[in-house]
Amino acid sequence: MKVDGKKVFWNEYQKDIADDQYYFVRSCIRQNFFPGAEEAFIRILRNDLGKDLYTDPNHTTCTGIGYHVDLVKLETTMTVIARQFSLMAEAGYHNFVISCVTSFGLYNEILDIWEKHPEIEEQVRDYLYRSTEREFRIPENLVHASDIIFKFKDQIAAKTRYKLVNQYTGKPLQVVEHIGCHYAKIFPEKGIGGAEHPYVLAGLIESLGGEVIDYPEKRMCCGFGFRQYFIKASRGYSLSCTYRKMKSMEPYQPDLIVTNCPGCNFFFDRWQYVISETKGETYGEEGNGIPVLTYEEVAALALGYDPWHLGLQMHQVAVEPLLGKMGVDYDPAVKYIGFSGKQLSKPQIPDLLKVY
Amino acid sequence: MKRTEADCIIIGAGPAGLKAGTILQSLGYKIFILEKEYQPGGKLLLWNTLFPHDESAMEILNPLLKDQKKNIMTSVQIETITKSPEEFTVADQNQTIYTSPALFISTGFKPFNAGRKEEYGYGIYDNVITSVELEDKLKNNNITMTNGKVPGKVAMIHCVGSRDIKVGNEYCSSVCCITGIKQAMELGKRIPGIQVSCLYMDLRLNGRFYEDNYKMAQMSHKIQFIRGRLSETNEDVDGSLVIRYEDTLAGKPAKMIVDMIVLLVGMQLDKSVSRICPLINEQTGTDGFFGTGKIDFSSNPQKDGLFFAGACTGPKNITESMNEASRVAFEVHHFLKNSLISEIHDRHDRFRLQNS
Amino acid sequence: MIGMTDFGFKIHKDQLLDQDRPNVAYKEMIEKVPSLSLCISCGSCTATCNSSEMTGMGFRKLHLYLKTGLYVNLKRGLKYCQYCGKCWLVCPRGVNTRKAIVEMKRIFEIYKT
Ligand SMILES: Cc1cc2nc3c(=O)[nH]c(=O)nc-3n(C[C@H](O)[C@H](O)[C@H](O)COP(=O)(O)OP(=O)(O)OC[C@H]3O[C@@H](n4cnc5c(N)ncnc54)[C@H](O)[C@@H]3O)c2cc1C
Ligand code: SF4
Ligand code: SF4
Ligand code: SF4
Repeated sequence: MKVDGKKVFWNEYQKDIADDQYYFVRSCIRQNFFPGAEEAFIRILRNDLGKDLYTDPNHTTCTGIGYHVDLVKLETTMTVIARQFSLMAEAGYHNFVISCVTSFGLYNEILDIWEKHPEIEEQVRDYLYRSTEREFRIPENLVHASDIIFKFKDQIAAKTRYKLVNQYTGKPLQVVEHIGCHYAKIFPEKGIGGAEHPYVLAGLIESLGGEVIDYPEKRMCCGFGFRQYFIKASRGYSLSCTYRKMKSMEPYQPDLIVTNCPGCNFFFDRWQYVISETKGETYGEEGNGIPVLTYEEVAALALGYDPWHLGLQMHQVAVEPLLGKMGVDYDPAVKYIGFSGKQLSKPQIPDLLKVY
Repeated sequence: MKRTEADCIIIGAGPAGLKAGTILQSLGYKIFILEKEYQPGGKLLLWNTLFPHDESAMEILNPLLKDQKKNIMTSVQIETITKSPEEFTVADQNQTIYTSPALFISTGFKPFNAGRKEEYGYGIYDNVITSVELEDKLKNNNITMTNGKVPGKVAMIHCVGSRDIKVGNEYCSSVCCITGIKQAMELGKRIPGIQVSCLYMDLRLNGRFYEDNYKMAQMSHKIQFIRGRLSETNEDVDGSLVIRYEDTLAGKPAKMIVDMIVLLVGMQLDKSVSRICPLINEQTGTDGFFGTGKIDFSSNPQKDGLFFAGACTGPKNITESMNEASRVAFEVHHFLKNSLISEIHDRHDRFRLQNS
Repeated sequence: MIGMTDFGFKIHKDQLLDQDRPNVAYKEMIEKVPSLSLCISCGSCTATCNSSEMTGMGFRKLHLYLKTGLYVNLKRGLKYCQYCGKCWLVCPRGVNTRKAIVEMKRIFEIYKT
């Protein structure tokens, strides 16, 4: 492999990312799956980078999941998204930052439809006005949250307490990066590094001292597959897809999987448990899984945030092996003690996949 | 500053330019062939043997160079091309000036830059090479992979950079199907037991004896022909390449593991002359090659003394390139003869006017 | 005797594709997504499809089913699409596969609302 070859594409796909003053829309599922991730993003931006970031209690889901399983019509989705834009304008912001990759793809798709068909945009203006008496303005800059972390990756790297380096061997950690399909596959020019060889996470990982793995099934879906998961009869396809990916990355002995999409994160994490039960296989060392983190969680860990404050105990695959390799200073005893000091309920320990 | 006059300047000493030169010289015209490379011959210098009859490229080239060496100027970097009503003026990097009433463009083609098909992994994965590079390996009889071993399984990928709206080349390059077959057979001859598969969308074997080559490839060399287009290349942990396509006849998505893939790159116009001369640039057709491609040549710009032939007027094999060059050489002859006659008439008129 | 049915065999319906049967859905689709007519069945879409590997579904076949009036197969296949957009990325003919899938789902009422 010639790593320099990829740099050519990385240089070709650049995009404008606003500097400051962000209007942040959350993901509808992420806060349940990995409650600390978005919080970490907000804290990194505000406290470590000193940025102005507005989170709006009034915004809703983008309906992306409903749209992708054919429950919500495109017109409805467009009107909901128009409402989010209207909220942004009301709050006095121009730069829209999206936490979820599927949302990001959907926003871009809708902006593209409006650009090509102004009559549809007019119609949506009408729908929005009639339903809410609101008007909207298209954001000046619309990016995914991982784009922002990418933009400030060197600033973050300069402040880190830990690196993605194995403290026992001194070697860079081997990291799988997985980009959500909707980040760049619909509009390659909207993604840093394009769709085939994206750089948005690879860049961050490199800056933090890790090494990115390129494995054969890299460009395939994480397994979520929307309908594949939501329709129970098809759920086996979702699992099989993740299984293929795990088998394909296994020979590279990854220390960590980093993703930028709520769904990918969830499925890499949770399916590893289901695979361990159904196939009797685990992919980390000695019965451990391969820890799966979001880009903010990785950045926050490197910056020295406490893993349990980041909510890493909510991951199915135990992160302790990673914390050990990175040399993170943490207290195993407080893993299941919540912010309030109360004991959280502990998970049941599965037979195969190690949980601490 | 050196100034040289001629009847016709030929730009490009590939098979087309050399053929035209031979004919015009035999008709008694004074010509110059300007070549930017340090050696004349165009692509004949790069290819090993030629389809459809396995002739050696050098043996085709040598007779074309015979008796012409003094007309050929090599390492000429043309800097300007201008036109007055009477003649073209071509100036090179040494400020040598060439003038002539007729200008013959035979600048040929440039192979498609395979790196632009990101998903094919050229420039990223070892052992993803182009047909141009394979030709070089055949010439040097050194068909090895980057690890020095001889490949046991090779896939030839058709239509790379041709018939592809995504890269802006919508035309068929016309020679790559047969080039693939030529090269596949050559691999078969040299490497016992090698398995070669050609992945095509349509097999376009539209030349004389091409079908014979096709049959020979199937019978004598057991080349596999698979109707499917490569959608992505990945590298496995052992350095082998995993390719993905759909076998569209079986109607099933498929993958194949190979040691090497050969991208049958298409043709693109060499823009070095059109870039510096608006008059030439104007003659670029909608497909990106010179001329209109119409059956009716009367609409071509010959009356202005500007002529085009060879692969610069659209993808062609060597026979077709030389045939076109011969035909256009006779048009140059016609043009020069007519301008000579009108010049004599003019002189005669002037003479009469002076004496009356 | 007329009405006797139990010969132990019967008259079958043929297996031919009937190109003469009007294909209203295809006509409507071509109008809505003109680029669909450019498809050359190269299969790049299916090869790259996230869902084809497991389900065998792929855009090339969806288009073929639509064109040949095999609507039952089409409806079954449509259900597996996860709108990932990979097919759009690789199509050498610039077929707007994403729009085509949305529109096909509309025509065949795969939307619940
Ligand atoms: C991989 C491959 C294999 C092939 N194998 C075969 C085969 O086996 N048999 C066959 O019949 N055909 C083959 N072809 C096709 C063949 O190469 C072309 O038909 C042929 O080269 C066309 O000849 P040409 O003279 O028009 O152009 P070229 O051969 O491209 O020659 C053009 C010349 O013009 C020169 N030139 C360009 N711009 C300038 C400038 N500004 N100033 C001065 N000089 C300039 C170039 O340096 C070059 O020397 C193959 C093609 C490919 C891609
Ligand atoms: S000649 Fe064959 S390989 Fe080349 S562009 Fe045409 S169909 Fe494709
Ligand atoms: S990739 Fe495009 S041209 Fe090829 S089969 Fe799919 S839709 Fe048709
Ligand atoms: S959008 Fe649908 S058909 Fe296209 S590649 Fe994705 S899952 Fe397959």
